[in-house]
Parts: sequence; C-alpha cells; structure tokens
Amino acid sequence: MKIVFLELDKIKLRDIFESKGIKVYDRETIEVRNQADLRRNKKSRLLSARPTSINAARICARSSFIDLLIIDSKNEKVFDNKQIKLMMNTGKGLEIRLSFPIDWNLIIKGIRIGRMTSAVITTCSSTIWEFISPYSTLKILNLMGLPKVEGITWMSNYPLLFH
Amino acid sequence: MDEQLSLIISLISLALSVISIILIFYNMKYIKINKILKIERITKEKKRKRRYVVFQVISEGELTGYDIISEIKSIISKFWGETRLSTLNPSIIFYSNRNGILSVEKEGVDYIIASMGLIREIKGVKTLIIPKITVGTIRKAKKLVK
Repeated sequence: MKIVFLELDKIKLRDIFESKGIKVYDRETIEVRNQADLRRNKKSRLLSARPTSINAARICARSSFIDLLIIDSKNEKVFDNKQIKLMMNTGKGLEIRLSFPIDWNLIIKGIRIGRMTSAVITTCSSTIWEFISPYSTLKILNLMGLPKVEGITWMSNYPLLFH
Repeated sequence: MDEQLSLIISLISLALSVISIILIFYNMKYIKINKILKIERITKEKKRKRRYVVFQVISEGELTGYDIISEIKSIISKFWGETRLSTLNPSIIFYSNRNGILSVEKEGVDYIIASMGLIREIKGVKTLIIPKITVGTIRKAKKLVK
C-alpha cells in the first residue's frame, strides 16, 4: 500500500471520462467586486466566486451564474446571517478553503454556515507541499465539532448536487 | 483449685474470641465491615487500549523516526496543550523506508491524525506525513507496511 502523486493531462482525462458516458465540467474561479464581473457565458462550466465585499456577496448569492461561494480567512466577515439565509433560499453552496497557516475561527464559522446550507472543503493546493490528506482534514473537522458522516459528505460533495 | 479454675476460664475466653474472629471473617459480606469502617474497595484499573496508525512520509531529505514523533508532539502541545499530550502518550514503534507505525491511546487517534496533516516541514526539510489507516493490533499494522 503506497501513495503516489501523478501529474495528469486534463484533455486526456476528459476523453477517458467522455468515452464512458460521463459529462465533464470545467471549473473556474473568479474574484467578484461588482456586477460587471459576473457577465460571462456559462457553457459546461462551474463558476466559483470569491466575493470581496458584502455587496458582491449579495450579488453572487442571487446570480444564476454562480454555483459556489468561497470563504477563506480574508473574506470571512462578508458572510453574515442575512447572507447565509439568502444562500439557503437560492441553493448556493459554500467552499471552505483550508490554507496555511490554518485559521481555526474560519473552520468554526465554515462549519456553522455549511451545516445550514451545503459545503465543500478544499485545501486549494497548487503544489504537493500545500496538500493536506483527506483523512487528516476529516479528523480536523471532527475535532471542531462536525459529525463523521457529515464530514465525509463534505469531502466528496460537488456543486451540481446542491440544486 | 482457684488457679485451675481461672486457667480454664481464660482458656475458654481465648477459644471464644478465636471462634468469633473466624465467624466475622466468614460472614464479611453480610456484616459489610467495609461500609462501616468506610474503607474504599481497591479496584483493578482497566487496561487502556491502544491504536496503531500506519503512515507514509514524503520529504525532500531523509528523516528519522525521532524527528517525526518530536514534531508531532510539538504540534499537539502547540494546538491542544501539554495536558492533552500527556494523556495521548504517542510513540513510534516502527519506521523504515519512509513508512512507519505510530501507537497512541484509543481516545487520541483523532488528535494524532489531525496533527499529521498540519506538518509542513521538519528541521527545515519540506515534509508531508500522510496517515493511511488505523488498526487495533501491531501484527495487522506490520502486514500493511510490508
């Protein structure tokens, strides 16, 4: 039993999946400051937005273009109670980013919001050295008060399940 | 005659006292002397169960088992405190060829695995510790490492 990291070609992966009848979606992340940032066509693409202000967060929650809203240690204050209720009504998901150094307050807040709406947890790693193993992430969530079963669903969620 | 009588009486009293002591010891459960004298019954402490975590190390340089366990201990004490660390009592059982087994108290498995994910570097060497599985016996853990 050994863990090996592989570099995969996205185009080849797409071909493999599509040959087996699975539809593949591209994922794009954008930083939203105002409404103009949202004017993009959505064709086989998942959009996740990182709102920088309260106005932008409200626009993102109402927009049909956006699937996920990203919460990290810098835009934590944007997600207030009204924002959460808006997200619950429109069926938007939350993406919690666990980046180093880990912000424990962010995890607690993310768990609180995620249990009301629906959430995905990611490490947003671009290199191997930023990677946190799923087993460790699950245990971190459990220690902060999230039940085990719910934690497993958060690890394997994807935005199309939310609608 | 008087001396003989007194001797007999003393012997009878001795015999009676011995019989009474024997009777008391036989009927301890009915008399419940422990409760009367407020003596706490000494109970055997249950043997604490341990769990074994199998892990793999990915690093730029080479590390020893001692480096890894000391880093894990420092992270636990940093985030959850010295008292928590003393109750977990983690120790490395086996480490070779970047694979290892770590033993810990049953209650502390979550803390150990979470702290493994929080390690970024050890002694200036970029390191990742990936926990694979937790098992209940050393034999099983050694099979998984091989």
